[in-house]
Amino acid sequence: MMVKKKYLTADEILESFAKRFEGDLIEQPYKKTFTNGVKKTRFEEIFVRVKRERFIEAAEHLASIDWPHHTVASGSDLGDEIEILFHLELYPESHGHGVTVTIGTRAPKDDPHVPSLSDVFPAVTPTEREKQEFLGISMDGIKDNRRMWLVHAVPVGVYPWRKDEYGPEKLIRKVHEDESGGSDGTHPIADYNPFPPGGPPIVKRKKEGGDA
Amino acid sequence: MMAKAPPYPLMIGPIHPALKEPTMFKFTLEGERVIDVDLQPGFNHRGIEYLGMKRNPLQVLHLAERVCGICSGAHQFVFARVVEHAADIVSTERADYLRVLVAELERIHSHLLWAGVAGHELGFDSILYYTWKVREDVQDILELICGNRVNYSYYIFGGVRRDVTPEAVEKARKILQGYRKLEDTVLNVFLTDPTIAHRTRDVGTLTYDNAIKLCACGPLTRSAGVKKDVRFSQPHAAYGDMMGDFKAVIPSDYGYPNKGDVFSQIVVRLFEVFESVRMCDWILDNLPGGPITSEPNLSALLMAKLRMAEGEAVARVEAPRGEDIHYVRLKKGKMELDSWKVRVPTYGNIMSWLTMFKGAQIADIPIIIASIDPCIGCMDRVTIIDSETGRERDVHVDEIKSMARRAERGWK
Repeated sequence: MMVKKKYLTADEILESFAKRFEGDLIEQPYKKTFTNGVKKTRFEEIFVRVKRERFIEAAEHLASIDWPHHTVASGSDLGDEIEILFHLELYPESHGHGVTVTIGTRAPKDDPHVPSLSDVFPAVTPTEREKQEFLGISMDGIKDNRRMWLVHAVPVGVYPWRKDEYGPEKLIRKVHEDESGGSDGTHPIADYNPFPPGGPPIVKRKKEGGDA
Repeated sequence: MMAKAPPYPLMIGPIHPALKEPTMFKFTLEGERVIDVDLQPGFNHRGIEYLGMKRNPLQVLHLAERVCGICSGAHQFVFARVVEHAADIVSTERADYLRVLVAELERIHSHLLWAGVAGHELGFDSILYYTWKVREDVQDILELICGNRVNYSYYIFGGVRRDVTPEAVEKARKILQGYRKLEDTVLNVFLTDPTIAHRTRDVGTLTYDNAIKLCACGPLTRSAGVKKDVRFSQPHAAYGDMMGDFKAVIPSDYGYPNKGDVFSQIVVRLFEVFESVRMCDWILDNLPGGPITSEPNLSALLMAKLRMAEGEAVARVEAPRGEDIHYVRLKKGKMELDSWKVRVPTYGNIMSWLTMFKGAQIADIPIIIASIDPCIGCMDRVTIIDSETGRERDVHVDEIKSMARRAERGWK
């Protein structure tokens, strides 16, 4: 603990990602810099998006710089693709050297799965379970596959953050009609898979290509 | 010997006084000892993120505040910041200071509320009445500054909505001065009372390694000696200016061991109250002049800046219970948020929380639950199911409490 730690700057972290994952990046990693207060103290955020084949490697690369503080994963429906971002922080125990690092990957909707990071960061399981049931994307290698957050009135096969036909729009005006119970406190712990038999829903691409 | 007793399940939830929102714990017990625990959240999932993706940022600002009733200010603070980051809006210097002032006042009220709840869970109700009485004073300052006691509606993109008046500053100073005397009362009771020590020391322990590995946040992780605090690791708003005078609170800095048990959490939270009082005084002493917002015209802000903004951002603040983080993506020409993710502190502590129950007694379950999540709700029931016969039995909270009292007196 007494050893003086060397803190990499945001630029050095960016460069190490750009160098190692050259050719497998979805977009060029970039940083955002902000200043606040009278003294204009700086803090930085980094966004790195790599192809899913090397996503675990990207997480391991980050962990090899320093053990990061994992916060949460977010996800978006981009149209033809689903994007999963993990938000972490490097040097969370430092006094002013923390850097928010977001590593992300994308999966096409006709093959909706990305690797789970639970082997690298044990804390990601709840948030990965959330991504599975909210976006209908399968996290390969997830440690706990059960449904977690949605009440039972939301049927399997409806994914609230999807903006396509698997979204919740058709359900919204009908939730109160559901008689199957749900949050009355009597049901057991949910022990079923968030996906119907056959896995997550597959959406065929409407047009060629995409911006990946 | 308990060896022949089969493990049997104990459900706590979905409604329980130690829970802010309905959640169900499924404990596996061997005798009185917890050997495993599983969590089923989601009973109160309101779809706020989905709602946010149907509304424009100015509307979501008020929706974000309603994620939580205790750290409402923290959610609005972080949402204002994340949209500023995504849309390249800069807040003013005076606003940076006022934002921190309200955030720290909120921390004082939240920690005092938690201290009361913790006292209540331990069967020490006089401390509940006392802390909630003194908490009213900080609510008065918040009402004076923001106009509201709970949902402050104080933060806006580019700054804050109201300036502080000299009278409010004067009154705030007086009340903050009064909080210093809590060292003799609340602090003294929690740190020296033998009953509290008996019920909280070495109970619900989070080890240093688990805190690091499972990425715990907030007072919980600091109680284990991990100096994680977003205010100082990424000094935003006015925190950058006060870096030299303040640092993350961990028990060993105050002469207590960094054990990660409930007692260490008490130590961290109570000393954070005094640290926050000092911070508020510091802010009032150093408050810079200037405008309180960089964009006073809301329709121009919405139509010209937010609607035309393209980009994404992550912002984090240290809410009273831990780190609060929002992710936002804005699309050019689109009024609504394209993507929004909210992570509240308790969400980040789920994995650590579950490890804290292992090896605990049934009687300690309420305080371990309350140790993390300082909110009070309504009690329904706890059902104990015998796994062999499948027979159910409803246990009232009073029964658990009387078990707790027996435990603290060392009775069987």
